[in-house]
Amino acid sequence: MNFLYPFIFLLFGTYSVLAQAKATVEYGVVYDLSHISEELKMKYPEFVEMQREQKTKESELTFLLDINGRKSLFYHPMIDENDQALWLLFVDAGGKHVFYTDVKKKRVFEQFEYWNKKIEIETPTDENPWEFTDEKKKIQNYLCYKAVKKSANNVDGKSKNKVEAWFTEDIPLNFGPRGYSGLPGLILELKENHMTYYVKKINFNNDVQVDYPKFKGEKMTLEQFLEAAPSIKQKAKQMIINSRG
Amino acid sequence: MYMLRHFYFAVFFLFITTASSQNIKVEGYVVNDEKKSLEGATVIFSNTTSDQKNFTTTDENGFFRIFLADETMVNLKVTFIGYEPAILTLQNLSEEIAVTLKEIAEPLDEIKLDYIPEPIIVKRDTITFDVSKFVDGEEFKMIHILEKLPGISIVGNQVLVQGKEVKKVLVEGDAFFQGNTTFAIENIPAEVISKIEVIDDYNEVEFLRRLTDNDATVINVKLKEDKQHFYFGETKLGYGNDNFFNLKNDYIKYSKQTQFAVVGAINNTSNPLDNIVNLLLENPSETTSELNRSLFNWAFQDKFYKENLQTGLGVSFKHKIKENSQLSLTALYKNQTDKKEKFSFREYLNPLEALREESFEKQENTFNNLIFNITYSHYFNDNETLLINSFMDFTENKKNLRYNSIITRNSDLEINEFEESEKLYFNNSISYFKKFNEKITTTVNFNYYGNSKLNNDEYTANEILFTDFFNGELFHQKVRDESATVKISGEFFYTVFKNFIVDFKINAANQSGLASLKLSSPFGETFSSFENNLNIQTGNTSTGISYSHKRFNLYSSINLGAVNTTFSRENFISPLFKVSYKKSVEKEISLKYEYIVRPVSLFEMRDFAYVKNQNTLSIGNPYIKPVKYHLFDFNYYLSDFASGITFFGKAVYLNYAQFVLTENQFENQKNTENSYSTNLDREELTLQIVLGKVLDKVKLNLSPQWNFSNYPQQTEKIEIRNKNSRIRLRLNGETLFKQFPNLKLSFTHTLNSFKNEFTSRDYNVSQISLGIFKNSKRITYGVNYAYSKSSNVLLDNIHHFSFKTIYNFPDSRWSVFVEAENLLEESFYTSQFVTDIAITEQQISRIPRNIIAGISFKF
Repeated sequence: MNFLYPFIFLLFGTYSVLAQAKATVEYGVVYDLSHISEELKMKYPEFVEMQREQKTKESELTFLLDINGRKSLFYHPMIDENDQALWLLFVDAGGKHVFYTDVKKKRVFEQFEYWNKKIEIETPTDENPWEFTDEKKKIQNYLCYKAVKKSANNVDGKSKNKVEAWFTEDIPLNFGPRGYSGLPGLILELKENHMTYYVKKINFNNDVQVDYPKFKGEKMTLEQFLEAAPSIKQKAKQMIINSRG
Repeated sequence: MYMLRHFYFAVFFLFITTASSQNIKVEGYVVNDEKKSLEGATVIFSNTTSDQKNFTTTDENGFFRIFLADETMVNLKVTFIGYEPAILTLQNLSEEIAVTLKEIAEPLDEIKLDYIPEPIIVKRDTITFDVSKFVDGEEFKMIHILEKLPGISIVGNQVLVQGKEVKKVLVEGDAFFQGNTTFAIENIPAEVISKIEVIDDYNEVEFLRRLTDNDATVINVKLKEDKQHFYFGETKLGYGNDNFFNLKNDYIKYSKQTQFAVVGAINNTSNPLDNIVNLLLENPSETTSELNRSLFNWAFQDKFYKENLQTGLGVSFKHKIKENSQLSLTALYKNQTDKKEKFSFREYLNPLEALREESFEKQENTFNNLIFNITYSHYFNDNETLLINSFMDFTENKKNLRYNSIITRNSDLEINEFEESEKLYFNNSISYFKKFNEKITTTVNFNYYGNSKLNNDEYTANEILFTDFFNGELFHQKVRDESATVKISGEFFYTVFKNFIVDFKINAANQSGLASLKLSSPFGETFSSFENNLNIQTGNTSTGISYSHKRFNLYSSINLGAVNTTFSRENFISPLFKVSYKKSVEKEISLKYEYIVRPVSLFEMRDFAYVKNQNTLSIGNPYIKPVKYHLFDFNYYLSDFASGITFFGKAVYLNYAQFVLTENQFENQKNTENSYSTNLDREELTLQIVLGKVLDKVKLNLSPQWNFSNYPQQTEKIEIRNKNSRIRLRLNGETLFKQFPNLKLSFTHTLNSFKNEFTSRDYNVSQISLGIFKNSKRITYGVNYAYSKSSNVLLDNIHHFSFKTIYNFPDSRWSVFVEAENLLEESFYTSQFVTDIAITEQQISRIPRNIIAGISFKF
């Protein structure tokens, strides 16, 4: 009869549903340059120089994570496109992507523009479960535990890296950067590929609303997108060539 | 009805499947004190016996449902932003749980975290550096990363972590080839490294780590996920002035399954063949093992040659045969032909008559060395390990020496010496480790090692060399030294309870040797011959207890033993006491007292004399007794790596109860040395502090050290008491610029004082070394200047200037280089006190100035 409890509770309970956790979390980024290979250094010195220039712009990026109840939105406000190094870092850090997470629906929606085409990728939140490790560390006064999971394939479809998340049970917000959620506390630090996102500030005193962001993009799964990506890219390149006559 | 039955079956199946892993369903709801449901509250279940946790979040009705693995998960923690956490211990998991959270009276408006992602994680026995936070992408090899990490310094061939020497480098938990630190840091490409772990109290056998007193510090390299195997190689050819040349070829391949290296070099510039020898050399500072002593000769040779042609080749192969066994084979070969010239000024501290000697030495050597090493390790399971090692070292040496000297009273002396020597050393060992259960662990070790050494010398002199020894001006001396040792040892550990361990150790060794000497004329006529059969048997048992409480550890043991030789027997009792407090690798304090008994070497016990060198006749003593001393060792670490602060303090005091005193008797310029056991007071003290700080763009390291020794000496039957003091102050600094060239500075000032009843001398030496370095994608360069100045009038000032530059062609594996050294000075001076003889040597045959240009290809 246990399965009836929620119904009984709903029907006869005198409780009302009101209290929801609300917060806005600000994340900074650290760009890891150690992946630059010897070969790359020798072949493309200008590219390497630009990567270094990008690193100097880290402090100018602040991602926002809005949380309301069991919904969250992760994004970065638009920046000045004229600063080339900052813009490239912004793009590399996923600044053009918006992540909307709905725990109730168990869905993450990633919205972005790929070669002038608007795309929305829908992924189940529980598709790729977290693996808990026994590693822990203190981030300031917060005891953090480490959890890892396989990284979702990025646009080039080649990423096999693990995502490392450091979360704390002391801040009971079950979200983190880039649509990652499902840990028993806020993700204070998240490392994916060459980018590390870390919490700079949490604001509890704002009445933040989180709703599904309207976006007229083509809806597809990650697999569908990875399959379609080369032709989208090719088509866009062709259009650019055509427009130049 | 039929449909309904199928529905029930489906539901039943669903429950069974879930129950197989998570079989206890728990439900409840979370409200606040106003009975409002809390959506998104975190609900965590745990038990007290493990770290296992299950968690879920509440839905929009405040309701939660979770399936737990077992009934012990009765500890419940419910949290929600703005509310006090509720922590409960549940009595009954089957009942619905109602949790009411109480609002925090003054909730926080915001939290500010003033940090960037932690690049250093410090635990009790491990420090982990996240490499990505320290590098700028310009690093080529692991050494360039280590130079940027706080608390780590590289001094000569040593890697030091807050003053502690790193004994081994591992990659993903397994030794990189034999684990040599220099080989690893100079070869592992920077681009493959994800994390650097410094592991303290390391033991190769993991289950012994908490049982034995391990003081080894090692570095473990964690590789990036996509760089789990890598290879690199380089062929380098250079040619310069006066036919100087340098040819080098390295190929090194790493995967978790197989490690393979072929390294070879030929040069006449005396560039050390360290990349070859480091395939096998265990640890730069370990001079105790015969293997290391042998390898030292060719890894860290000086450059005091007039000419030197050397060839070296090393091959190493390490392979995991199965998941649980590993085989490692290494072979090294070296051939060297060299010429040396040296001027020496010797002052014999003869209390009866001051004696000075100026001498000139010219030497030609040919040296061949072949070394084999095989290691097999088998891990039966996590609790049982077998290690088998076999090592062989064969050396052949030919020396042709011409020695001229002018002494205070006498006329010129001229000696010609031709020496041929052969040496074979072998060592076979089997070690077995087993942890029977949580209480009992044992180790057994069997070791069989030995050496055979034959020296064949021919001396020609214009006068009688040692009148009492041999009445002639031309003679042959053939010295043979052979020994074999069998050693068996075992350890037994009993864990009474978690923090209380009792250990019992037993050791037995039998060392047998043959020492012989034959003196003959050049025509084969034997004048005299001696032969000694020598024996040393040692045995001891030790019982110890170890007790830990939180961060404190106490270890105490008592060792009962005996050393038997042909003519003497020594029984001894030696206690050991160690107390330590360790919070982490950064913060530790320890104090150790030990009474140590160490048998002398077998060859010291021979009862005949032989010509050690053209100045010294050495006479052995069969009655010689073991060396005994009290050791006090105090260490203090107080560092904060995150803030870049390193502090390390050390004090070591040795007080000898019994030691081997060498008596010197001078006759003209010749010295006859005779050793015997004595209990005359002898003491040694070392105090050292290392203080390091990493600022934003500068890494600084200051290390003052004081050595003091007070020891007796017997000369011409007169006892002299020597007091030797050395205060050394060293400052190392380097800049950490990312885009500009970096500066390295090293300054050392040493105050030396030597006193006895007859003489006293004080002098100081200052050395400064300045370097400018830059690693970049196109051009890498380094310029180094060293200057040394001494107050000792016998020592000249030294200038040393060298540079190195490499240009990498864009989009190519080719590069060109120019290297130069000894640009300012071709002679070199050293000064040392060898107990009773003050020697100043001018190494006039340093390899001359050389500038070499060449090409390199990386593959």
